[in-house]
Amino acid sequence: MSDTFPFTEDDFAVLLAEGEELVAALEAALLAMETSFRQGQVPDPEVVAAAFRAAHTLKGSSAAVGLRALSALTHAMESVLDGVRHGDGLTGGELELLFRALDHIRGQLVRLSEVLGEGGPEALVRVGGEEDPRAGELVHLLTGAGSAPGEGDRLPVSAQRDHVPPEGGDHLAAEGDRLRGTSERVLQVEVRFHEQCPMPAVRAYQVVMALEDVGEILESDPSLEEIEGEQVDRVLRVILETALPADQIRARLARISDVVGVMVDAREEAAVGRGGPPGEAGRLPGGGGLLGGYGRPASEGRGRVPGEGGGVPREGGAGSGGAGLGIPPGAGGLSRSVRVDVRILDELMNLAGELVIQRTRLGRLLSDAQLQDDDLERAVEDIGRVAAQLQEQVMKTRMVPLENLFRRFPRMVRDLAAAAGKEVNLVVRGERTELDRAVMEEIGDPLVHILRNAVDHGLESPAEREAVGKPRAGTIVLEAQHEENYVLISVRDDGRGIDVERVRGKAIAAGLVSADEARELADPDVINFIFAPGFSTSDRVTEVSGRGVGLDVVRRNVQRVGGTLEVDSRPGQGAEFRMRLPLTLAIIRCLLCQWGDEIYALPLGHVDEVAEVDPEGLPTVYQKKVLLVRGNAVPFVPLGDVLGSEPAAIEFAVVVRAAGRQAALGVTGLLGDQEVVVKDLGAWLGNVRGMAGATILGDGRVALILDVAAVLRRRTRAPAA
Amino acid sequence: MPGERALVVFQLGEEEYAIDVNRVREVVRVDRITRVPGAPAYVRGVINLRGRVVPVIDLRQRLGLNPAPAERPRIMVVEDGTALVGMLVDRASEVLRLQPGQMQPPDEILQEDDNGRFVEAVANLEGRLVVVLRPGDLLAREDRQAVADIIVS
Repeated sequence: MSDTFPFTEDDFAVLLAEGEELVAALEAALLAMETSFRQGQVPDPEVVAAAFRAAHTLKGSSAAVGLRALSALTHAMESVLDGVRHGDGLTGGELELLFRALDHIRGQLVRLSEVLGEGGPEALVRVGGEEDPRAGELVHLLTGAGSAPGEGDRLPVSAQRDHVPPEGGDHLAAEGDRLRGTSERVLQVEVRFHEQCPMPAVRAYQVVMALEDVGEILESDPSLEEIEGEQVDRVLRVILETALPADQIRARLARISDVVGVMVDAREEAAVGRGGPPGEAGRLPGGGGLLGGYGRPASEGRGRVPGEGGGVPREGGAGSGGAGLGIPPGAGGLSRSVRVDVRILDELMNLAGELVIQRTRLGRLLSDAQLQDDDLERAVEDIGRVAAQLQEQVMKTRMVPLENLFRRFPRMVRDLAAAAGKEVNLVVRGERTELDRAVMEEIGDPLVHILRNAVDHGLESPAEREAVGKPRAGTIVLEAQHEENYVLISVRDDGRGIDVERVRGKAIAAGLVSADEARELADPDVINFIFAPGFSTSDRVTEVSGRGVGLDVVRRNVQRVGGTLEVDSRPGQGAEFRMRLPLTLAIIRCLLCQWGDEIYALPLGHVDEVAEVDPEGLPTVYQKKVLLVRGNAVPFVPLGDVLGSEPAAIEFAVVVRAAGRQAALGVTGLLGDQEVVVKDLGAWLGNVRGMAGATILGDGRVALILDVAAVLRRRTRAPAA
Repeated sequence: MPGERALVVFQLGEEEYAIDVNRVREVVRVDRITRVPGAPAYVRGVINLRGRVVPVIDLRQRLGLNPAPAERPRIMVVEDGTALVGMLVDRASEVLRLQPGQMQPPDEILQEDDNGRFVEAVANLEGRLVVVLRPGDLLAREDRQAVADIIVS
């Protein structure tokens, strides 16, 4: 592997796409194991098996592309986990090592994807062939601490038979032991890959790895060299010596992606003694010679049975939005999905939106022309329907399950809790809820911040909790759900709640409110100060929470995507942060308002109500006009004043709300509400304060979409008129 | 011929200006420009260029010339990296090929003026003077920070 690098970008795409999933699956399993150990229980055998499978598949895919350091590391992890499977137990130190190894793998995968993005597969030669001392160190630690005697060679099959599975222990292992105890036979295994399998060589390698695990490969066609050289057709034939029954082998292979058919046959006549020494079975590619020659299996020409063994390709999952998403752990695979650059999706979205707009325009031109041509009208209608469907489908490609974001939180909360000396159970619900990728990208940081807040400030220490009769471990519930065109995400803890008096004091100290005013404020209003710029409730700066970023930034980030963030608190019982997010950023419902001959779009999520007004007749408070909305005096501001437009005759008021503030915007006309396709103002202009973007109306003109929160900020900072 | 330059020539009032042909995407006529409150003063607004929202700058104002807009100005769409920017011009007339010898650096009086930084050269074609502009400087957003400050204050 020194001179040539026989792996393509696609091979790496498999590793990277699956890697992320597998690392996540492994992490989830390790966390669950840790919880069990902490509670003095034997971990669920299914969980241990899942961890083992994830490590094993990672080993296979990294080995398949020649990443020796990573495959050695995953092999070491696998060995330790195998020990657990067989009832060896696990020390806290070992578990910590496994977590560190996991972090290292995750880091390497990120690095690989960066390198791949920059320089293509050629650049990967550097990384692939590079020394990875950290991996070596971890392997050393893991093998030293773990149960496996040596990292290179797996234990001989018989050596593990003495293990007696613990009571209620790993039934898989027990089953394996029982099966391994039966006499070994020689089987011929024929595996067929999906016709559109993008990377048959990688899949073939996975099959080989999976088979090596259950027995000894005597021959294979194509040979390993050929597999490495990508000379793989749709069929792989292997002569295997194993104790495992055929159906077990079929089941194992069916788990590999793109495998559509597995046929297993007893092949007594193939019993040949040409297998390599057992110690070589764990060797990685590049070592060569693992699978020497091969012979044409006798079954040539025998009927193939596609689909046998249940290796049916999985559905891509509607709206899963590309590779690496929504794939069950351990299953891995790219079948039926492709990676698409988000920019292309954005462009597609743009074009689909444009098509819808042009259709509207066509319809209007047609009616203006008064042609009375039914066929033409039907054709335009059809185009409209197709355009709407196209838009909907393109929208779907942008939707991603929140799982992609949520799955990093269990580990994060674990580490935060450990650093803060607290015990925390994180409960995650509704992670299958889908959200526009662009929205999701914006809410990651806010959620991290809120979760940190909950661990650091919301939850009490175990001792404090016990003192007030709560369980030692605090609970944080992270929950997502759908509601009409919104997604609600809440973070709820059962901690001490927000200390209203402390917030009141801080708000006074920070000069946000006078002491007299503060006394008058109701508790919910006081709590809202935690979102004020420069406000921080914590006197002490923790390693992770106290980084100077306040909840004001969190709320602003949520608002930037058209969402809202609110908080509820019950003293002694906990706090709940609720985020309300639009399903998508690409299309929003807006109220179109006029100011003179200018048209502006106000996102409906911020519009409370509209009213007819006579600006001259409005009451004033402190010489400023207000509109009475159900008894509340709401500041009245002519929209044109905020935007520096020419004066015009106001006829309506639009009551808007953002960041807990309300205002009545005076406008000259209302054009009704409609869905608009959100566009940016062009890269050159970039962000303009007060504008959330632009949209193109049915008549082709551009209307600006107002950023209501920014408009309200401007209003309140403007000097009194 | 080595050193030869191809330029798009356009009019602002009585004067002729030019910009490198490679930067010019197209010249369009648009009836409606949507004003963008809060954008820099020389940004006239945004237009719909076949579904794409493109900002338009008032070139006269950017260059510090007297405002005397034509009745139906054209918009010359230039490329700034992957972004598009429209520039209001009175008329775009021709593509001109210039030899290196036909261009001279802007004279010192022009350079003293702050707006002189937009001028790369002046071409003298038998008495006809064409000011060759630097699109990079024209489109530089040195105001980016200032914009935000103005709106907040």
